[in-house]
Amino acid sequence: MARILVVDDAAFMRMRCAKLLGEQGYEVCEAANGLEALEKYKELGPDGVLLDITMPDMDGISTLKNLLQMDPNAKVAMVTAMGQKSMIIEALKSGAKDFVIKPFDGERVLAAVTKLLA
Amino acid sequence: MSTTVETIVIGLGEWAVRKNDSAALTCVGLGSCIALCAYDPVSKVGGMAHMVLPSNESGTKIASAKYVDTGIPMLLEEMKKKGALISRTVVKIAGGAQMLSVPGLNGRLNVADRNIAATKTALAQAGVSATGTEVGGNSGRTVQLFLDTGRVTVRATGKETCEL
Amino acid sequence: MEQNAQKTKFDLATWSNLANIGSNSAISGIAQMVNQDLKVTTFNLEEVSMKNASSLIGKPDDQIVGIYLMFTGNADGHIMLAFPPPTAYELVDMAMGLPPGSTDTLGEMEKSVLGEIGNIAGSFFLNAIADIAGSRLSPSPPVVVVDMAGAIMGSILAEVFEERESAFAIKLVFATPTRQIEGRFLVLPMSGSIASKQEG
Repeated sequence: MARILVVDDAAFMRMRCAKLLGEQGYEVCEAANGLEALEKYKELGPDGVLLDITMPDMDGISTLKNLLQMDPNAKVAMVTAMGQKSMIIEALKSGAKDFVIKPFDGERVLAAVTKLLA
Repeated sequence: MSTTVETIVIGLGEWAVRKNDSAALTCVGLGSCIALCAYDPVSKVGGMAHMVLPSNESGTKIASAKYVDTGIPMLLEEMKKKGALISRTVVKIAGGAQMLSVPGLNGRLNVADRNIAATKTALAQAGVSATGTEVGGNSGRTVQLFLDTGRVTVRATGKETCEL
Repeated sequence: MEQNAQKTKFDLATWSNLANIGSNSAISGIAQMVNQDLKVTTFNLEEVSMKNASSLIGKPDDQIVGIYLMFTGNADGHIMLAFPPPTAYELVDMAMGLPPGSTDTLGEMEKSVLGEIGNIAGSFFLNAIADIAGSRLSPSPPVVVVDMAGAIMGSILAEVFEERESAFAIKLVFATPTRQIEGRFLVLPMSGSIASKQEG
């Protein structure tokens, strides 16, 4: 089954995503910040990434750009409370495939994952 | 401890000097701020300042207890005016706790350490050393200076009140 | 996308128009996270002195749970969400779908839940304002702290009042209809012209 990397500095969010995705049979790995996300991506080669924006040191948009530089085929959906128009546009222009606003509806996140893997 | 002692709260940037008083000068909820307590047991002159920032960087000359560099000399001067001898004055300091550390932003909100450093410098310049210090850490503190005896107590969050 | 960010004096008129909208958005975000009917019960945009500002989230020696974040961008400032500890425990239970009374201390996971509530509230406030004003306002990750209200406010006030004697505070109290859950949401803008519509 597909492997999804969940990137969020909030342990609570990682737990919720892991539970939601795990229940659907996805294999979940986690990263608590941008640097860790890049390391885990290289190490585990997930099929898709759920990425927060507000994180310490390297924010989600920078992480997204670095991920895509590492792997131009990386499939990333942003999952964040930061729904400002300028950010949504920047994320999508930078290569994010989807943008989910928190607090998220479980169905919305699952739909985003399905879209990533399609 | 008597429960009828009058409490005089010294708010942010405030200070007070009293002579022959029986009240308790009090700084409530000290975080990064510094409370300086000074007491001359012979003349019974006591004072407290609640200082917020190390120095005034704006260039406007305001002598205020808000700033450590002006607050400490100002307090000691007033103590002298009321009859204190600085050589007899007991000085104690508390506060300077780092309450908030934003992940990834180490340079911001770090006034606590700068306040402690500024306090030590200002005391050295005044030729005074603090005989009691309870500074640093990550907990809030409430400090009281009992003007009848010069006794100073500190209560840190989660701990028992202790004498400084 | 060019944004002409002029760090000018506090733009009261624009902030007061936007603060109301941002506040309702922030509280709706919290309501969604904890599945409760939360409404703003009092809203103030007022000028405060440094001394009075230390009581904005509670009396200086009130024990409170504070969730703090700072924001930067076209404007910068501080955001604080505050609850009495028992309310914070209830909110953790609600957000995690646990039976009432389950949470009675704040460990790492519980703090993470509260941090996320703060993140949602702060982000929603900033999003509402930023999109209307055509700005970008970026929040920091949240910090959760449990201590006396005065102590928590101290280092924020040191920044806010470093070069001024009075400042503007946006303060709201919000609650469930029965006031079983009640909290405070505080925004202290520092500088920046929030109304910077970018050209083109």
